[in-house]
Amino acid sequence: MTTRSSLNDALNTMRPQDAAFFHKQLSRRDALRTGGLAVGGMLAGLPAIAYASRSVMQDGALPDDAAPLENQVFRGATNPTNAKVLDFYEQVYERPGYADMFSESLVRLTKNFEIVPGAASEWSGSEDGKTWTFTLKPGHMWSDGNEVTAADFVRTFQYSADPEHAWDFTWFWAGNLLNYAEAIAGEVPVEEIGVRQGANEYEVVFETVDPAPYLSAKLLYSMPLSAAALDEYGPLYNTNPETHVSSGPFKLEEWIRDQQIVYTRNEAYTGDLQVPLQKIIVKMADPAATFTLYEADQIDYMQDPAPAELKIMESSPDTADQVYQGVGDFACLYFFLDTTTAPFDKLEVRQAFSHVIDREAMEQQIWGQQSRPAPSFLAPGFPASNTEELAEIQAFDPELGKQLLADAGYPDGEGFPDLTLSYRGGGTPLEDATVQAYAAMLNEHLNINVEIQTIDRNTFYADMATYLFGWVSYGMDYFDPSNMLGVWTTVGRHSYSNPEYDKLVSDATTFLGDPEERIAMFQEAERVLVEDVPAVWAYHVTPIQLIKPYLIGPGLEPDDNGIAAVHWPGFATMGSILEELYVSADAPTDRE
Amino acid sequence: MGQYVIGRLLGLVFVLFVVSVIAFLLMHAVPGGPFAPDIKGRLPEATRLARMEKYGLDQPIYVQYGKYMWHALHLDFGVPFQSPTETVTGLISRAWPTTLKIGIPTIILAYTLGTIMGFVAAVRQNSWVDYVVSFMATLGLVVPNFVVALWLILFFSVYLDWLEPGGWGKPQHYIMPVIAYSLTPMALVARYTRSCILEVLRSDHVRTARAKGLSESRVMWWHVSRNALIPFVTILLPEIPNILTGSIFIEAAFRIPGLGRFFVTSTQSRDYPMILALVLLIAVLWGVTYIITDVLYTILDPRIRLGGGSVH
Amino acid sequence: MATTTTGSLPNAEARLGAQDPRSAMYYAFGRFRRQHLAMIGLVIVVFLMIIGFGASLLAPTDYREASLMDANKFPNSEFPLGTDNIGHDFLTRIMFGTRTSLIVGFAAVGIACLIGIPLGMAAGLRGGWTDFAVMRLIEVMTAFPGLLFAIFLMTVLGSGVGNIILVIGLTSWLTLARLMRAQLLTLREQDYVTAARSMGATDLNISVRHLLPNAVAPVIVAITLAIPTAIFAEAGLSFLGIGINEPTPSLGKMVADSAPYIRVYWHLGLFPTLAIALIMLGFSFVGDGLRDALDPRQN
Repeated sequence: MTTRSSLNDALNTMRPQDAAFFHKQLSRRDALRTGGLAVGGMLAGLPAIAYASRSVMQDGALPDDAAPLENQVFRGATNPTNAKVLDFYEQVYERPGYADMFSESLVRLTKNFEIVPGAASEWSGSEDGKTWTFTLKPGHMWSDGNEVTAADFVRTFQYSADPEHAWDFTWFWAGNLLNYAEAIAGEVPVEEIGVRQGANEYEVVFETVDPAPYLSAKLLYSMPLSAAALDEYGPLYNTNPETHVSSGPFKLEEWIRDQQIVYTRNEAYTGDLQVPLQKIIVKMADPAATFTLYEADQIDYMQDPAPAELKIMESSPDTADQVYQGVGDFACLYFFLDTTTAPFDKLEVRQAFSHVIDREAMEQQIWGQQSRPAPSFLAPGFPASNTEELAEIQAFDPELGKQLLADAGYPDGEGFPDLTLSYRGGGTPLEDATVQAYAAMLNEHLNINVEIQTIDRNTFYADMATYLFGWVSYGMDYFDPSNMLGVWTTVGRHSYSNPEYDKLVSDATTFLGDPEERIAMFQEAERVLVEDVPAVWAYHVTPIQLIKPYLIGPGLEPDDNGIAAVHWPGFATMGSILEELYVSADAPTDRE
Repeated sequence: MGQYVIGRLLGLVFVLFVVSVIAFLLMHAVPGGPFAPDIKGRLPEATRLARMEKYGLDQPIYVQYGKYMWHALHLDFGVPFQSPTETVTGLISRAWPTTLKIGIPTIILAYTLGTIMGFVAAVRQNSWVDYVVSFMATLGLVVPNFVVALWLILFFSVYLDWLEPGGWGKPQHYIMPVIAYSLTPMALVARYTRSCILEVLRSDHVRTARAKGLSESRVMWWHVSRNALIPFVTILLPEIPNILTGSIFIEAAFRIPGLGRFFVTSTQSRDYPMILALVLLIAVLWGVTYIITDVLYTILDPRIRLGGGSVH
Repeated sequence: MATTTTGSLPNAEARLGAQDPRSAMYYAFGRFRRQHLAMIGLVIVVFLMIIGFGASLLAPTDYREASLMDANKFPNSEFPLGTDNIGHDFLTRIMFGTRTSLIVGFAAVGIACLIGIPLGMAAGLRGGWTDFAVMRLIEVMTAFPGLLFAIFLMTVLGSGVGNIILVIGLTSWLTLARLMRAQLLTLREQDYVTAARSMGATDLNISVRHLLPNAVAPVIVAITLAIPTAIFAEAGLSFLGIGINEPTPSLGKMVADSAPYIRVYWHLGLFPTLAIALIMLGFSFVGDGLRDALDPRQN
């Protein structure tokens, strides 16, 4: 468990350019290629070798302090709402937690956020950075007897681009992979997208529109569907144990709708993941009802307890050890302002708004361990994050705020229109409290009246670009600054549009040169962003996990930055925790 | 009487039709669609359109309605968007019996205990019994059921460890939900029973019967009960379909895989087939309840004539 | 629900065609006063209305004022009911919350009465097609789960006090209408109705002068129950996030919002629940008292 201060220390001392993703990999391969070769596609040399010996199981045997195989059972809970499918490439936001166990991505993420080989043993990019070849490990089998080949990957990507399928994550590849944006609009057939088989059935080739040094990071999400099963059963084949096909370490044992999902080990597994757990039980529970399950020892793990629940865990020395604080998906929660409409078209007004948010008080009274103040957009630990340098720009200074508001023509809030804050429904208690507290601060320091209107989720995201003043979050999808910073470009999701910022971001995104220089370019972009105040940043989420003491393993040890928690992407084949977590011998035995 | 009932049933069919049209129009008046919200806010326009097309939402409303009704008449209510691997009828037949298994014991408990409480309070009006019952009845109506649920779970699961905090499949899983769910209807029943019986005890029927020399107990049981049942029927009979359709709060707190949560989640996720099916289900339940209510009126009070004019 | 037989002397005033409102009220109030519970209820209701409607004068702070560093405090000398999780003085929030709840309760039930009582009376008195139409309307309206209907409307209209009142009012009139109708189904058979008709009285005349006073007793009980029910409906909608907008406090929303904190900060749930309980008690005692007091056969 990491205490509050050690997390801060860890994140504050790590320089953005230390992010393993760029630094370690480059120094290996760089010497072997000429010209400006893209960073992200580098074969992971030493880290991969180190990675090969990362599992707790040595030659298939459990460690000495592990419980016997019958007791290697893990029980978690998830929200039954929108729990329709278990495959990323079917629908991303219609999966419950603990999905994506049935196949393996081309790459994996270690707990130090390094990209290492997954289903692919190596990869390389062309000189212009627009063609990437991934080589699969042969002999990896599906549970129906077929081999995992490039055809599965190609077919999966094509399926994702099919307009009839209407995949909810098409933005991820649109504009990135060749012809993808055209395919989703029905303008070209899906066979023409930039994903195809290479020289043989073990080579997958990706063609991109622009140089894409970050492509291997994005391919963290490349868990294939089985082409054979798609043909035979249709895309929902994994929702039913009878038609289910898996090439991953787990198979679907049962799925009782609204009650539970059970995964057991896949006997036909031929991959190289060495997973100690033999059974995963996922109980469906409303988030408000999950803590009592944990307390009553009905589940072994949970995330995001309510404030009072966390307090209960922290208050007793027996349970305080079960609290882990992580970085999650580096999510930033912020108040966005419509820079194209009065009164927020004036920079002084936006600046005034940014100077009256007392993050320190919020941290102490609202967030506690669950979040940390965000003076800028990129969270510490994320590449190109620069919170220290940018901290002064939106610092808490109510006097300055009042002054700026007066300069803008609204002395003491006079004449300033009453505002409606568009708040998306279904927020966490932290969000509720933060939004209300900020409204009170605006009232106290700037004499502005704010009414908080809750808007149904569905409607909110559809209309978000039209709201004058609202609250929303963004967490990373892949470990590259272009992902987060892209949110604020003109084609991003907000009404903010700054050509200078756009250029800075796009130049950095496609830059094939020195990765440290690339980071600096992104940092310049972020500085422009923070100074322009299209948003008042509130906090970065540091999600809390509650883990029973009998779950142990290297996955729970502090990472290179001193943070101990189950890292992104959590319990799935493209993460590392499945190999690095097991049940200790002193665990209760009647846990099923 | 038979004719009357048949007439009412036909009227119910008409109501179902009207209800389906209104539900359909209302649902499509609400913005958004049946897919998970675009949380990243970056979905391309092409995919947005493709999603609408996939669910048939790009067609004009009357076409969508026509298709839906055509299938509904063949008892095919489509596939719920929330759970594309089953049919609407499948989901309801899976989830509703669970809700009923909680609802029926709740009704039995609430109505028997409530009637007893109300009866006792009325008969002993203004005594301490009356005060206690009135107070408890008020309490039952006032405390939100998620608070009751939480207290029950805390007490019986976390502290005493006698019961599991929630879930489904064993007999013990009935205990806490039924208790929590029955408090409000029990209070309602007690209140109305008490006030109705008080009303009737003072009425002329009873005075007359007393004057005739009938003994206390016969007076009570015979006249009082029959006449007290009228407002009982009006207010409390419709409470039954209310209970039978489940409560999202109870089912969420105790993790019961019933139908209650679908009333809320279906609207939030714009699950049109599910909403329409639920609305029709409720229309049928209520319609039948009303028919029973009106029939009971005539039995209970022969002076009530149904369907007639005001003077005759 | 009053089942008077024809043999007694109920509405002497009605028969004589003369009404003396003052003396009837005088007697009614006298009867009311004699009921202890009713008087207690009246005191409670008056108290609530004073602290509710007088909140802007009586409350220690403004309801928007929040000092985050004082958040989550238990009751103490500075904050008599403690503070909530944002740092609002909880006593202030309760007082203004009472005001909001009372407004929502009264207004919503007011709308329900305006719709439901005339419709129910018309259906009960006229019978025939009027009855048929009203009953079908009621059936159709009841066919919608009130929650679903409320969510629909709130999603389309947006959250806020005005919309909540409208939505709750539109879903609450059904019970009153049915009750009214049921009352009239019995009462219209009375001889004095026949007598009045034979004297040429119009339906409206009959309704207001003769039937309404007799029918009103259970309806009053229903109304007094409807007010806290409306407040509870608002709480349920707030629980789902489509109720009153912050920073306007509402007791229902406060109860709903206390859920994540209630295991440690029990005061966040206890006080609003007590406030709602008090409103409920007050109105129901008053309602019972009114029913007994207005019952004309109590002479």
